[in-house]
Amino acid sequence: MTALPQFDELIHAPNRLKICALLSTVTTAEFGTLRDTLGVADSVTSKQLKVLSEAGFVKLSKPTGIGGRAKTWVTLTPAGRRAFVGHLAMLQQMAADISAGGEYEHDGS
Amino acid sequence: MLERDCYLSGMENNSEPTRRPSPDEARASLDDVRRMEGDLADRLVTPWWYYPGVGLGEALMVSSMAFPSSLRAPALVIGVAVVGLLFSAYMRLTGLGMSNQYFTLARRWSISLLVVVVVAIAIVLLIDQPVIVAATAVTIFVATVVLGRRADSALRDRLSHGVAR
Repeated sequence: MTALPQFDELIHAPNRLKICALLSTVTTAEFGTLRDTLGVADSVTSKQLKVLSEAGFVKLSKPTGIGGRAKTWVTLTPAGRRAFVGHLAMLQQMAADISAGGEYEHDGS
Repeated sequence: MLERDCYLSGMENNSEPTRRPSPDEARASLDDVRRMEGDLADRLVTPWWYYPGVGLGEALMVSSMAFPSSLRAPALVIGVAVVGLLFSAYMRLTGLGMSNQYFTLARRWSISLLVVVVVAIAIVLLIDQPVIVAATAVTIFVATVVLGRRADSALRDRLSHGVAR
């Protein structure tokens, strides 16, 4: 997926950036896995997901398992993927001001 | 707390952003993304039984074409169910869906596996002989185990080095 470089203030916050990075690589992720990967508390993860969800960047679902406790699964929406890829492209441009090194290439397809 | 941390912490708590990141901060954010991909590579470890199970399910689906007509549909349904259950178990164990970048990051192995499956189905449809069907089912099982694991390794390798080149 290609996107025009565009800085996104909402995504740029560190935990939200990490959440989007993880979700851009897998089809979906469970809440607990996201929390453990970020290394933060439930409340922090929940708060960041709420912000992303209200912006339409992630979708939360709670499928009922057979006899088990329903878990929350998080998926990046097409709008979220576009915003994340555009934001990464902008970060590359900004970083290139002091770096002639490798480009950050992210295929969010 | 570093200046960058104060600034980012403010953004995270929805306070008014004051400025765009400097080149240094942009690089640090890109490093965060790379580290996240590295962490993800460590978590995307497929259980040892996953590919053998999927291979068995696929082999059953392919060989069902040679079964008596009354057994064909049940065998096909069981094969599909086995693959579906394994996929579901993988998600429950890892807390992650499959990578949606298989075809990008592990292109060679995932395309090879797809070709093997398509050719195997074509062979079984064209040559309706039990020996050929059995040989094709074994081939599909072995290919799924070997190529699936190679694709996993390639994917993890790319992620652990960051998708950056």
